[in-house]
Amino acid sequence: MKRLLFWVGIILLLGGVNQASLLWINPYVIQVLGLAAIHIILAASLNLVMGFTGQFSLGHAGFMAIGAYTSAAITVYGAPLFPSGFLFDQILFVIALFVGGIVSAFFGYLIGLPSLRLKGDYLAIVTLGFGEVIRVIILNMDFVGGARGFSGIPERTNLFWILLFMVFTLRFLWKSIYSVKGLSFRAVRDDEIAAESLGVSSTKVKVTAFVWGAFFAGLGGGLFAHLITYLNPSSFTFLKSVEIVAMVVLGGLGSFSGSVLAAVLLSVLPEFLRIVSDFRMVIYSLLIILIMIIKPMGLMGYKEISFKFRKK
Amino acid sequence: MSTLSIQNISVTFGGLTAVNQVSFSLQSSEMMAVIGPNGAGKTTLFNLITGVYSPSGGDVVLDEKSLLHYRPDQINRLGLARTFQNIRLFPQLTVEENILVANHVVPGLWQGFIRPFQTLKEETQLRIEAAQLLSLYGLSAQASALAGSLSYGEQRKLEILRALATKPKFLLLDEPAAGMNASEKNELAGLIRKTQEQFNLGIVLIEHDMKFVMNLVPRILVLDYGVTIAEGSPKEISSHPKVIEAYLGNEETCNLK
Repeated sequence: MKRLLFWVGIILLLGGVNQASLLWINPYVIQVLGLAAIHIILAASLNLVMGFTGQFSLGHAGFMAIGAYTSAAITVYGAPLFPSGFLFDQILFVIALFVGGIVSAFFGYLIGLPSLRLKGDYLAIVTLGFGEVIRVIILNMDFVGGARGFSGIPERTNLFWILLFMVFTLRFLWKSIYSVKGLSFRAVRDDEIAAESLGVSSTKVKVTAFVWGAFFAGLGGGLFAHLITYLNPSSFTFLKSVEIVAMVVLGGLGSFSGSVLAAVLLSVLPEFLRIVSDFRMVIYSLLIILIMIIKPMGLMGYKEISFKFRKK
Repeated sequence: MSTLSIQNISVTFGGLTAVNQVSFSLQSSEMMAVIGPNGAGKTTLFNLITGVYSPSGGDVVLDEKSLLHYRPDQINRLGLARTFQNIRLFPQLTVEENILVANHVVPGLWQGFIRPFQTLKEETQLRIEAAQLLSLYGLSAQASALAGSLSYGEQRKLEILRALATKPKFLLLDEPAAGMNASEKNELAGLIRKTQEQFNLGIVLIEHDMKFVMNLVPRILVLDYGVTIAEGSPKEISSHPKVIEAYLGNEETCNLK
């Protein structure tokens, strides 16, 4: 009952925020905020894999691409089969997002399987290869535009949907990782051999982390597709994965609050730095270096910002 | 009553036979110790029993069931728990969480989010059990401290408790008293004895310190270069010529000059 109230409250609040934003804030700012919130979803989901389970993954952009293209294909090709109208459009959009997430999760399962045998840097290379394979496959799929890019995606994402899914993602990951069921993830990260000696199946833990990480990355990708309304395989290169990894590391491996902070910082900072035009990326990079020197464990380390203290 | 029986187990790494045809068997109410000089293959023996290494010959049998071809986590679920020579706690988890990990709950994410009634009930139960275990070794006050912040002796105790939390039939302790001073060792010996009586489980412990084991266990197995050189009561062992040779050196080599 309390939970239901929480979600109704969130929906009303975000609906209000959305209406207000349309009235008061210019579209450019809305877009930057939207991208920042999508980055929060991506960084938090990667943190589940990297920070909480200790699996180095460089393929997050690949999962994002799968979710983006799947959901876009559904809203573009599914629209004629569906009655039109505001409500139906929204329903189709949400279905598309979840299907995108589920397809992405399926690929997360596939890529999670080799992770049983590989560790650290070796796993990173496998996931890197996986991300590139996805991108090349999409490049050669003509019905989603191939190299020309996928245009004509309806604009469905607004601040309401992004923030709703952001809250959903964060709440889901937070609640689950800090529950007894989620303890095994952090145990595997801290010491895999010890976790196994206590009956924790590290195989199951790692695959579960990959599946859920991929699911939320797919969701983020779907939101991204319907915000920008145009997709191009070149948006999902290895550099995008590295950007998300940078957010996770900068925020702190094993801290959702850190991921949120770093995702906002790294999305908004380049916009502010437009004033110094030519030196923008130089200053941006220097700031990252500086933060890592001052806070080697990332902004938050292992800690979380919490309003009530985490149940011990 | 369960029986753990090790039958002619061997393993070779490259050309080295680290454990060679070692056998023993243990009832689930007994205690025994495995001693031997450094590099004798004691820890390797534990790793073979718990599935970390797979043996090149022989068998590990728990209640007529062979444990070969099981993964370490499955072997733990079948009733074998262990501690490690170099402490392997989860330093970023709290003391209580370290124990909660060892509860055989299937890992999952959505249950933590939805929190069905069953999960909540299970969680409460597990927390009560964890608190009971902690009070057993006097660690209740540190329940919410990070495991990495405990003192060395407390970390050793916590590791034993964590293994106990998996409700094993047999507990394998790898040098539980390493790095402890005499009074800490005495206290630990008392705790191990108490634990054995209370939970009625079989305990195998590896130890360097002969004195520590002599007063604690009724039966000792001595390994040297991977081979069993003696087995028997502490009294027999302490006067066994081969054991004295392994520990103190051979008379002839001393007289070489």
